[in-house]
Amino acid sequence: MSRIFTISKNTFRELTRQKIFFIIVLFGFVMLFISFFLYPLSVGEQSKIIRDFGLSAITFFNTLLVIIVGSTLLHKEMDKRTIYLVITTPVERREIIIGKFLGLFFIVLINIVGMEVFHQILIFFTDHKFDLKMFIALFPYLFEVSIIICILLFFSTFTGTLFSAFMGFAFYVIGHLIESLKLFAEISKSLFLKIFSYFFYYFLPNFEHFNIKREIVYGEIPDKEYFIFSICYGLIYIILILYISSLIFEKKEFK
Amino acid sequence: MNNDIIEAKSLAKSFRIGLKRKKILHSISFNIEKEEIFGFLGPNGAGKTTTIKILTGLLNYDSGEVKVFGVKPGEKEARKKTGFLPEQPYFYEHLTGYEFLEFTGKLYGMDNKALKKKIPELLEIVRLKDAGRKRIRTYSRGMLQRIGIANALIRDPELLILDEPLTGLDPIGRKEIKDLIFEQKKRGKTVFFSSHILPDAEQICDRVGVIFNGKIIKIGPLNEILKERITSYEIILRNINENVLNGLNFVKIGNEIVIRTKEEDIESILRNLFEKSNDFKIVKISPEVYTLEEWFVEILKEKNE
Repeated sequence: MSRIFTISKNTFRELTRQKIFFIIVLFGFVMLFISFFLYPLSVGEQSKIIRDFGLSAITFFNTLLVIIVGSTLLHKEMDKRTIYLVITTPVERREIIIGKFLGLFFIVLINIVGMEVFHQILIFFTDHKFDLKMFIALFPYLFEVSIIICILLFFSTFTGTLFSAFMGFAFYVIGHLIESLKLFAEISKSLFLKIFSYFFYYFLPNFEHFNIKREIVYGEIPDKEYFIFSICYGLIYIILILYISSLIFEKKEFK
Repeated sequence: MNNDIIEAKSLAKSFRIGLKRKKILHSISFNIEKEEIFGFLGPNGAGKTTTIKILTGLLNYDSGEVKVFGVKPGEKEARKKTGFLPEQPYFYEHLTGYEFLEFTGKLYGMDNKALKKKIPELLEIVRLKDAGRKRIRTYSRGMLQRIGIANALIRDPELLILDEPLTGLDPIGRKEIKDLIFEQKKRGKTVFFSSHILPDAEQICDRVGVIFNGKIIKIGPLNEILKERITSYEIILRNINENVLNGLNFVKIGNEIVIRTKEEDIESILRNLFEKSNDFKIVKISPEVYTLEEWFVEILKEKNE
């Protein structure tokens, strides 16, 4: 366990000392700030606009951060051969995968909390009160972003940076449009396309399960069952993808 | 009792290049005994780094058998007892030298208290005491090599595997690393290192293995290998009149005369000289042995032919 913590701490430290990290985070905060100026344009819907725009900016910039930074997590180690010095210590390869995952996860967690605190300040300036329900909207998103980190790590164990980033982005997009895939399966006349569409509908992670932004903005809080389901659904994907990634990484040769 | 730290029997390895497989190691066998310094020598592309990567678990092998501390290379038990310096090592540039050693020390399971004691000691040994708090990205080539050596020593390993540890160092740096390797041997450690800096290897190795085109072409104690290659003998004389040396191949160095000849001619030359003059002194008669470098070049030439 201490080895996982050591690797995640190093990952955390490495990423937070990168310029790209600060640029993306800065852009995120700037976007949040811009939402403040949209306020006068949205007659009657001001409160909702600032909440909706803020949450969207937080999720978009954190997804962007994860895809850009996460796709290089393992590759950088392999390209720069720093991995040689880690692999040859008594660390297990699965500990490297889990450590990398946790390192990036904690960065995203801190960034989300930081952005949401800033978002709350903006809400306070417009509504003269905080709206802590926004934090609830971001809780399921943590599982979505964790699954994306896992997908990036998975592809990084056997493909290049660009392909990993592309797959991370593709899974993100498909994960949000997956209901359309089900609809396509239902209306499709070809048996092959039906089976193909249903297979991917049930096999790929459905990120819409983690999207409760609209409900929260309109003041509805999902029930306890929803959160239990989301946590279990997210954890199954996270554990499964990390396990498969570890198996592949276990067999990997370093030429 | 088996005293071998490393045992490799018929070790073979190939890489896929395009559609074809290229053999890198052709069934090589060797063993490294406890407390010896073993030099693994060979030109670039001979298979040295591939062998080292197999020994450290970075690469798998196709066939044969390899044991490090009695287990398969790369197994946790072997990694715990091994310190490794890769060829042209790269480090986390965002870390300082101290932070890097702290990082790898923790991966070896060391606690903060042990690290606080060990890291300053190591930084002192590798002459990086003042640079320990600077980011690694500011280090020179020699400093990188030295922090790599410190990293290999962090857990006081029983076996050190060093891939080209002397490359990129100035003469002082090379001497320091050689002294450090000697020091490890004195402390009962085993050192396996690859090098192409042969005069340095000659100074520190107990045994050497020479690899060429993926095959070990020579292995054994250094003095035995070099004994096989006596090229000529030198007879060094003092107080001798040069007139009596007619017909002999000689050079004058200071007040001494050095005659180079074959072993079978030594007796007749001396008998002849004593007949002409009897007041000279024989300082030394010694075989002229190839240096490791000369021997190495010679043997590679033979193999290429």
